[in-house]
Amino acid sequence: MPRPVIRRLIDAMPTAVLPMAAGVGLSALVAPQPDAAMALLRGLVVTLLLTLPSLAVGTALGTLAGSWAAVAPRSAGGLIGRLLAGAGPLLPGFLLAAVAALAVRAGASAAPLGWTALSIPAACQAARLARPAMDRALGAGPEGGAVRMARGLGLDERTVLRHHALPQAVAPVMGGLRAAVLAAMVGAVALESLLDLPGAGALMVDSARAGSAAGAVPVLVALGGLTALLNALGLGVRDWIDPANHSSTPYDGP
Amino acid sequence: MAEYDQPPLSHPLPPEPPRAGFARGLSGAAVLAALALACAAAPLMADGSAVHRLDADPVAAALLDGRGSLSFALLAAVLGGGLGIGWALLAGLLGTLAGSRAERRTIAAAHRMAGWPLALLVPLAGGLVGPVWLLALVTALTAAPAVAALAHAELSTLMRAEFLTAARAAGLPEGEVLRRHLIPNLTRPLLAAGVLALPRVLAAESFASLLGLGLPPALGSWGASVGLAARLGDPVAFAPPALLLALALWAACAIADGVQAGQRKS
Repeated sequence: MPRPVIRRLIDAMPTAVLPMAAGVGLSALVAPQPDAAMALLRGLVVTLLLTLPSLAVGTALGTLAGSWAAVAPRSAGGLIGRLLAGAGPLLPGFLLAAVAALAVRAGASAAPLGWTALSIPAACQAARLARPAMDRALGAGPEGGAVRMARGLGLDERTVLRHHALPQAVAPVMGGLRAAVLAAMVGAVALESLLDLPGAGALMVDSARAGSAAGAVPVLVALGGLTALLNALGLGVRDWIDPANHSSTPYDGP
Repeated sequence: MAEYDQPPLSHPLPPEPPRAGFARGLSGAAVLAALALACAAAPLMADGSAVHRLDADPVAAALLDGRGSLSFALLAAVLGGGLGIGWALLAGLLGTLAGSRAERRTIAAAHRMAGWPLALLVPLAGGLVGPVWLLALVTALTAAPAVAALAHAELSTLMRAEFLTAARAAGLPEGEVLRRHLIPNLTRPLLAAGVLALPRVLAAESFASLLGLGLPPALGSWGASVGLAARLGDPVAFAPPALLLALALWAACAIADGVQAGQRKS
């Protein structure tokens, strides 16, 4: 694992791991069910398996589409990028989760639909942030200096885009991942509840429906910790990718 | 001599910046106003007498549900905007009275809370507490930290403005500075920050209602109808409330974006 990601994860220990541990401990102490702590641990794993791949795939595809919308706005990829960037508020994660639940009731497979539903808000958020960042990286302003220098040195356009422009578009996306993480977490809770998946969100909703604060509050605390962990991962990847953090590294060719 | 009156060709006038944010905000306001009017007129749609949600066709039922969603969102947004602005003003006041450390801590708490999944508090409150006003308060609390963070940023920018330094250097008493300069220049940025609460509370309430833990069924909500239709696997009942909810969320986000874009430009 890259060193900046490890550093961010270590920094996030108090805000991520401690709430999760506190949630599991609290549910062992106060929850009405005898195996509530183990159920919460399993639920956290299910929620992580739902959110992490969706966030990774959605953010990667959204960043590529948003960046391509700045490079070639009238191409098919560019149109998809512009569509994703504009459609963000129309497609909240919980509404897409409800669409996925409706399709599952009609006979579709749950897992790919669930991941797709959770990855679309992340893709929209990434496209919305990547497009203006790529515009700036390719533009005439001060942020376009690296690209102008690379072109002036005679590098081919593909290398310029891949090694100099794209990292500048990815960095703000990873910095703004917090909103996508929150949307994915809310969407995961809705999806688990609507599809009866054994995730932490479904545990919280079931406890809230039963009026059991002792069952619901520890799960909420643990989900807060999981959110902080995903945020820290995003910031670590940003530190790893951001060209400003390794500008002294010599270029070693494609 | 007319040619000497022309501006030199090497210094063309800067082009008028596009007003995309304003147009977006205006279209969002128009869509939201149209939705509110349609929801208010919904009881007239089914023979002029059918006001019961379950008896109506899916479109009329969705419009009837919109009355609950939109009125609750408006109430919670006013509460959340007020709480967030109050939080930012409290931080500024603490900075004046107790030093910048207290101010930084107060607003850092808002930043940290904005990173937590506060929307999950709304279904929790819906299951554990009964009254609607308490649910509105919890929903408002989910939006308040983000509003506070933005309002405090605007407040800090204003406090560093040169015209305030000039007014103080000219010997104007603090009360006059507050009355003549601070309050008139602060109203618009704080309102712009407060508008940010509207899409957040609408989304939070719809999410809670979708899980069956939001507004009571008697009030009606788009989220509750969407959740029920998804559980029953009924696409005809699902489509109208889902589309209206998506449209209302887009309009609320467009208004917030437009107001903030206008604020940044000014």
